[in-house]
Amino acid sequence: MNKNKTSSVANIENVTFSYPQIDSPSLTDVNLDIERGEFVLLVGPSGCGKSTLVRTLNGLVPTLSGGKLDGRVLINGKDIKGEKIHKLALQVGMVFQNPDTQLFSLTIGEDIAFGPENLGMSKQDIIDRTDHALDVTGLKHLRDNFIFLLSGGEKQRTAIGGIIAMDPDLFILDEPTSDLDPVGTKEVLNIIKQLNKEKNISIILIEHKIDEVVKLASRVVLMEKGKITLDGDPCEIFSNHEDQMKKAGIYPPQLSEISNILNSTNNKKAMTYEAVLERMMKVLPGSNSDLRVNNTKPVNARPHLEIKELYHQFEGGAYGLKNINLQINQAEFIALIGHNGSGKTTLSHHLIGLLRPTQGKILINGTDICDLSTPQVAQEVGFLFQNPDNQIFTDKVNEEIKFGLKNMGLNDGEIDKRVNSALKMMELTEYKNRHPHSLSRGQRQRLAVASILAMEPNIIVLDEPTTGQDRAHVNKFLQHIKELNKLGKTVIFITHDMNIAARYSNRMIVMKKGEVFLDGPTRDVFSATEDLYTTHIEPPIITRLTLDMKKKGKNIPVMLTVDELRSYISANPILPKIT
Amino acid sequence: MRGLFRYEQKDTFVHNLDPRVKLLYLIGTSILTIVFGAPWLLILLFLSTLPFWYFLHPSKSKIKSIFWLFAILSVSFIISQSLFYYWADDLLFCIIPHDFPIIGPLTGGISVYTDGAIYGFIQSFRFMTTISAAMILVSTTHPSELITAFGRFFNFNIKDKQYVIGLPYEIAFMVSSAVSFAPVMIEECYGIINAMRARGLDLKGGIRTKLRAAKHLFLPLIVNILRSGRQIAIAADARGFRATKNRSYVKELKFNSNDYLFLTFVIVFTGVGVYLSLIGYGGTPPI
Repeated sequence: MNKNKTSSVANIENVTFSYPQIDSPSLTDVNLDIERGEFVLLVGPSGCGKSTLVRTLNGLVPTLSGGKLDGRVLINGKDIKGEKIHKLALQVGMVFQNPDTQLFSLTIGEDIAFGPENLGMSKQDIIDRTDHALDVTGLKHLRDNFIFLLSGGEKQRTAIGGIIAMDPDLFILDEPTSDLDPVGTKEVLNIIKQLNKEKNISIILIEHKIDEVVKLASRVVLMEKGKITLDGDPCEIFSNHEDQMKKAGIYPPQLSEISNILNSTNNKKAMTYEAVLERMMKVLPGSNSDLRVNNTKPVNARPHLEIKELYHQFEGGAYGLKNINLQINQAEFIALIGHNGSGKTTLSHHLIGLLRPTQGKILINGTDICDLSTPQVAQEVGFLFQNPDNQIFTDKVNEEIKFGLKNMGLNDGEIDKRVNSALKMMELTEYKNRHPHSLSRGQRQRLAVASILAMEPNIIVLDEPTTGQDRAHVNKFLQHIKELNKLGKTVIFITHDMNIAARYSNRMIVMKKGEVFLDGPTRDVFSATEDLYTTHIEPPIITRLTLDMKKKGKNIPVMLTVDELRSYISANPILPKIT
Repeated sequence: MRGLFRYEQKDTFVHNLDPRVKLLYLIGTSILTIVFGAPWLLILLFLSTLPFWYFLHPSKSKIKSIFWLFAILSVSFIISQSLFYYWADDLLFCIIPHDFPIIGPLTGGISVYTDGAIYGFIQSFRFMTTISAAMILVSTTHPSELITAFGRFFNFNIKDKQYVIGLPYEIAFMVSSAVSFAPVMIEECYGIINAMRARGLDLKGGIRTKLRAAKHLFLPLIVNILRSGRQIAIAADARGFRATKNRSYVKELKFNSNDYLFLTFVIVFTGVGVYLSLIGYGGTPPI
């Protein structure tokens, strides 16, 4: 293998590609060089061609996909046209989003050996490669563990291990953390960092969690509509092209956004947490102003949902929920957080009767719902599940919305009225006769919401509906939910994304080991940093910055979003620039 | 009932045996249930499967459902054989005499025979033995291990080169990935059903409601299976699946002393059984 240090690992030269039976090309005249040891963060809105682009590098496009590819793709200086996919697998490794569909064996050790075994390597070679991969992924002690018993993070680490065992020069990761909780995300990103820093392996990472990955990347590439529109140093790109990025649905990392607001000089040093903190200490005037405008309680607050001494015991005997006591008022917007296995989903399933309390009571508007069936509760509580494809049952968009209404036994006139208003609200009217599965994922998500909203529930429960979507779509979606919330609907929102929790919720409930660990106004909960860290939850960067400033003696309110920083600055202009 | 044949992960003598010897045990025992004729041998054969259950420590509910399964088997054999056993002559009582109008001539009369009932009781042991042995195999062997056993029944090295005789690897891979994907699919099914209930579909009710629900379950499930199937294919290709005909295997299926011990037991056990059947304890009817 040619492991020349200076040469590039991959070159994409004037590549234009169209999928079969689709007229417009998915890639148009793309040029990209990947140097050895580079860490490229590839970003762009959904459907811009990111996945297609990286798949040209290991031959999945066009060998498996079909379609027409013009231009050249070189790996280690060699044109890969006509090259077999399994040959390329030794040079270009690829990890996908869903760990369940890329693991094939019973135990971790066996799965890591799967690739080398397929290639017919010698036994000793395979054992060495497996040992090495287990070392790098930190899975050595779990070698003989069953894969089906692992957490999402461990599964994804196994998948990465399987690629490490192939010893590729270029590692491609296509949204590897979208299905993981914050703990799993951290585990996976640490391994990627290590591969790049210590083994000098080139990385291309497609990822929506910009805040977490930007400090790892040495280069950022933006794709829009099948073309590369920005390419360069992360600091430079995020400080000089913030607007273009935002237009494309890519939100810059908070640190860079903050340092832009503070007119800092644009270099890598200025974008570290410490540098931004120092800068804020210098230029931000102290003030007693209060930011609690978003947190005003609704005037006619009345208990909408009450949970009293709720316990839930699983079949095996373990307790999923222990002594939950909550009172949730009408029109509250609640973020329910905690890492996987903390009881969030178990609790939420009780609210619609999918699970029944072992002990305790759940009251909605004062009525105990434990005697009601799920379909009965569903008229008051709308529940949106994580995967839109698991909640689309019919073959037409408007039929889909009718599904729930028919189940409620409404008359035709009422059904039509509600279908039309739901279509309108979710901007789906023009698609009403389409097949749901011909829509994009974002549109299918909106259809699932429309189907729930048509049933006119007063409580809306959302179970991580934003995973794997770009920020522009997420914001648009939550803007709709926020409007409904303003109309008096109570919203309970399960999420792992603290920026979203900070921006939209006015109350936060943190769960830990089946119990309510923290509960209060979002700002107060995020301020309880010591407690939060024990649950592996990190407040947004702006919140951490303002908390640290307070610690250092600055009189400044705790902020939850960058927008709050902007409005603070417009009321308290920043001090003259000191350099 | 569905837990009867489910694999349970435990660390016991039987669990740790090579899947191939357990497979041979099942085959040997099944042969004996066919060749044995003497009732006491059939009963003994059944009893010989029970000590293995001691190692498995089955849960109370499992024991209960096994007991019920056996009871139902036994009773249905007794009833059917007491009515229809060909060689029966020990009449217990008559349900429909042969001269009863219409039904009598049609059926030739229906009577219950004592020796038929006894014969049925003995016959049920043939089935219970096979089921018991199959349950021991399946509940102590992970499906994918079992498939490995099928795929590489003979596995040997000549001059550093591995030779494998068994099911083709592609088929073994297909079955094993289907098996390992099953829990994900089941979870997905529950997810879809939950989503239907959250949209007000009442699953309680007659067969029509259930059919309607099944119809709606179908679309998302198929869509998911197709999407995941495609992803699995891509991921497998990206890791060199079917790259070479001479695939290598790190994990050699190798017998340890326990396996040899058990293999000897299976051979002797089956051998003695076959010998017994040849010297006059074999055959089926009559008692």
